Amino acid sequence: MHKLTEEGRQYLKNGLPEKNILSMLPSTMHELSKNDNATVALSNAKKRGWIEIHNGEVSLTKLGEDAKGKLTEEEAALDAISNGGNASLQIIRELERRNLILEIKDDVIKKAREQLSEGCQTLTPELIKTGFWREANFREYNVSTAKRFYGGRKHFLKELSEEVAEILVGMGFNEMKGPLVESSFYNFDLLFMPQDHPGREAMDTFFVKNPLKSDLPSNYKKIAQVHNNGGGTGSRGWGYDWDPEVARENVMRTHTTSVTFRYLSRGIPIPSKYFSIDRVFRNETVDQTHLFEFHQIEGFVAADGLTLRNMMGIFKEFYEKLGVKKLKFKPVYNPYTEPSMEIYGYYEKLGKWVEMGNSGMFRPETLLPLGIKCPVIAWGLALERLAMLIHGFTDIRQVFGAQADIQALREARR
Amino acid sequence: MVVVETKLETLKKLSQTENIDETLFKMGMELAGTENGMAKVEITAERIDMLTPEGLARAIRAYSGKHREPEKPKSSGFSINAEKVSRPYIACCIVRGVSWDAETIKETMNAHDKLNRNYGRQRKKAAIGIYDIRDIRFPLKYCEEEKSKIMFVPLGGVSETSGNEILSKTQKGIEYSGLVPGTKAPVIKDAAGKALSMPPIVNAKEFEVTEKTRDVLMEVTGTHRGTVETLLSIISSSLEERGGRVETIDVVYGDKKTATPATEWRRETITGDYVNSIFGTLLSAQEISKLLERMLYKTSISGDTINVLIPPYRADVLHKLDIADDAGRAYGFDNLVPESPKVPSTGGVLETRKLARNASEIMIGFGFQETMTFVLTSRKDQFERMNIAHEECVEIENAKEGGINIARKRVLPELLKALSYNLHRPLPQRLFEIGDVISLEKSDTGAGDRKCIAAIVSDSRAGYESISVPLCGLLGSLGLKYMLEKTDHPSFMAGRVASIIVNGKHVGVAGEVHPLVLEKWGIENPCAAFEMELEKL
Repeated sequence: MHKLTEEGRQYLKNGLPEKNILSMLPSTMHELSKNDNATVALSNAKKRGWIEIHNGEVSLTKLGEDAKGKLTEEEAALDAISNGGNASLQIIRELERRNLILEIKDDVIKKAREQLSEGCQTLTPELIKTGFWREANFREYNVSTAKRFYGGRKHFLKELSEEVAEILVGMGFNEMKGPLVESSFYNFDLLFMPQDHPGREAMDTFFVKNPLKSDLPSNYKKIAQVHNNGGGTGSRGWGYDWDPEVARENVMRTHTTSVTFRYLSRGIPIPSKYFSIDRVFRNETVDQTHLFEFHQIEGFVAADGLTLRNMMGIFKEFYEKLGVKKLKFKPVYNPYTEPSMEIYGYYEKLGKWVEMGNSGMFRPETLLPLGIKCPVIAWGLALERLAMLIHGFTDIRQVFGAQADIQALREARR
Repeated sequence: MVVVETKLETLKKLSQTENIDETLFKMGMELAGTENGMAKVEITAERIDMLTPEGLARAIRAYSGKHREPEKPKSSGFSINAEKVSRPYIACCIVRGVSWDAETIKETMNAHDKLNRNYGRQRKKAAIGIYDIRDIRFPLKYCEEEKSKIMFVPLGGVSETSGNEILSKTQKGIEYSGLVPGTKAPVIKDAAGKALSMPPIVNAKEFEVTEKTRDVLMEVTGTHRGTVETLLSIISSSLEERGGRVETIDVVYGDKKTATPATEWRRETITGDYVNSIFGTLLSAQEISKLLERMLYKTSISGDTINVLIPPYRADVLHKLDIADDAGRAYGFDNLVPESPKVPSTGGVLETRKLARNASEIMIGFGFQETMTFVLTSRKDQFERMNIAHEECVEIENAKEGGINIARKRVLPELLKALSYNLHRPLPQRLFEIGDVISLEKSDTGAGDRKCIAAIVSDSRAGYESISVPLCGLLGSLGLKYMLEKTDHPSFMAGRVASIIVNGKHVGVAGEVHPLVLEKWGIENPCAAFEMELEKL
């Protein structure tokens, strides 16, 4: 079985182009070429011996004169086929060659007929190929209702992480990375936190019992001196006997400042800027505002001549890119930075001032033992807090962890 | 942040400042609440001198420019002989002329309690004792005696009790008995042989401070000399704020004599240049010294150099930087104009982030929702619920949250957990995560982190192809040469699990999750999943 192509249907309706051209003759090539199908018309008319072309002049032959107005075999065949009839093998071949008809396989026809008799409500490849779609009766759909489908999606916390990383990279910061299981040395001692500091207690820190202890780097004796009596940094120190065994105790890192100090210890080019957006751990029970695991955004800049005003300048740039244009700075205390500042931002959407980070210049007791003589400023904020602010979550358990609602993840605003 | 509570009216009066919360904010503190006429102030942890209401008021008053330092204490003429004690250090003094009404007593005791817990590290490093001086005979003796021989009526008691009984039967005794191990305990005795107290446990009732008290004796004992002496300076100077006159007592250690509290202030010098280099300001030495006076220092100038005298109660000043910082606080951080520094540098992200980005984009393209789950978990979740034998892993000592005892070695169990929390949400659920796992390794810490990617499909008709198709799509899109080889794995159904081989190395596993595992997680739909080490790709 065959069906007409679009071109075939055209020719059936309007006639073969080579026949139509006959009534325009005599004429010139130039004139005729202005018509659609001119090339097809001319080449077929010539083939059939209906026309003669001399020096661009086109004229009818005797055969052409006779053919004028008469139905051709091809046209008759097109008509027959369009009505489900047949034609001679020779003509069929000709029509196929000219791409006026297409063969439809038997099984396709069979399927299409079945679909029709079943009252098929969807357009199928078989109905299209056979052209039987014209006989189908497609009911109206209620197009106003559509079922919600959930495609793949980045976790909105990751989206925010990528956004922040992009801002920081744009400001010239390089990403850094450090271990999750960390020695007390890098997590506390290098930061000049005394070994009896309440912040080091098992209350707030996860102590690791396996692996229990780390190896200390070779400069640990210098650090002992700093804690003891200032170790030549110009400080009084804490005045106690620093114990290397306590420094070896492993913890789940409580902040990414330990990563900063690994990099500072290794030696970095001056000036340089580094950042990290990574996991930290605090020994808490999970509730509406606390998780035992979350992400910290941390950045530091080491450069000669940095001042507190420069620190504020960097924050202004960073927070502006996050959409927070008004900032307030409040002096605060950190054991390892001085001066230290809490950063408050005016969050337009909520119409109030929100704490948006902690910052400071590292104390000489932390930098001088590592041979760093220029100022190093650092700041950090919790990624989850920022996400809660931006996305309007009030329960931190919805933001991170296996217990988070998948639906909330699927539907979080971009 | 530490909280100090005192009557709002008293605070306003002592500090001579009306707009307390504005001043506190500028200082870096915060007026957190004013219910029932009580001011709750959050102070920063290093300002131990502000832990007493009087010290807090003094700091506010000075910041407002209204402080005048009292006269230096004179000697009382009295002494205390300090023998060799396991709790070696003691400092003490007399304070005369404070009117001890009920409110003053209550606030003073609260402040001492807070100082004992905080600065005194639960009384171990230092602890305070305060007594009505009326019936005390000087000189005093600080020594150690057999617990059984120490006898006095303790505060809150009625009859004479031995040291042993105090330690085992009274509330304070039981709480702090760990600080007094052994058969002996420290005791302070007066010249008549009466026991004033058994530090750091409890005082004798005979010398209790009451509303009839005129003059007091204050002492601090402890294991750290600097802390002990500074603490005495803090509490004695606080009573000066209440109108008291402090008189020093000589503490005699063998042949060395020290008058406590210290009357000489510590010296330090800073320059205008130094302060300006930190803040980016252009302050003169004069301006800086005026700022420092508002932060309780005494100053004198020569040229650009400022000679600074540091009050003995300022426990927080360790380095001249701390003095400079105070100048900045007095100036007001909000008066500083931000200035972007010229620090040229080019930024970049880690290779692992790029790899993770690519992988996650591909998974999202296959319709997977990204999850983020915890690294800390339980043996039950990582092994028992996965039908795997226990493995060596990073173990956590002391988690407050129930059930946390290890760090994860695999991400997949957390995905199953996520499914188990979301049984009520529409299917299909296709989740993936790129996250850290920790294993024991040869490194300086003994552990090492790796990034793994895991994915799971949960649906009524989920099968091997539900996961193998996206997996191969992922590996193919990353341009990797991979192979899936038949294998066995107890978390997956036999005959439906493959080992993922990339560049000839085993990098992970994929298959239909074993129904035993699904049962343990309470999941009722079939699941197919994979997990691989991202960095091995």
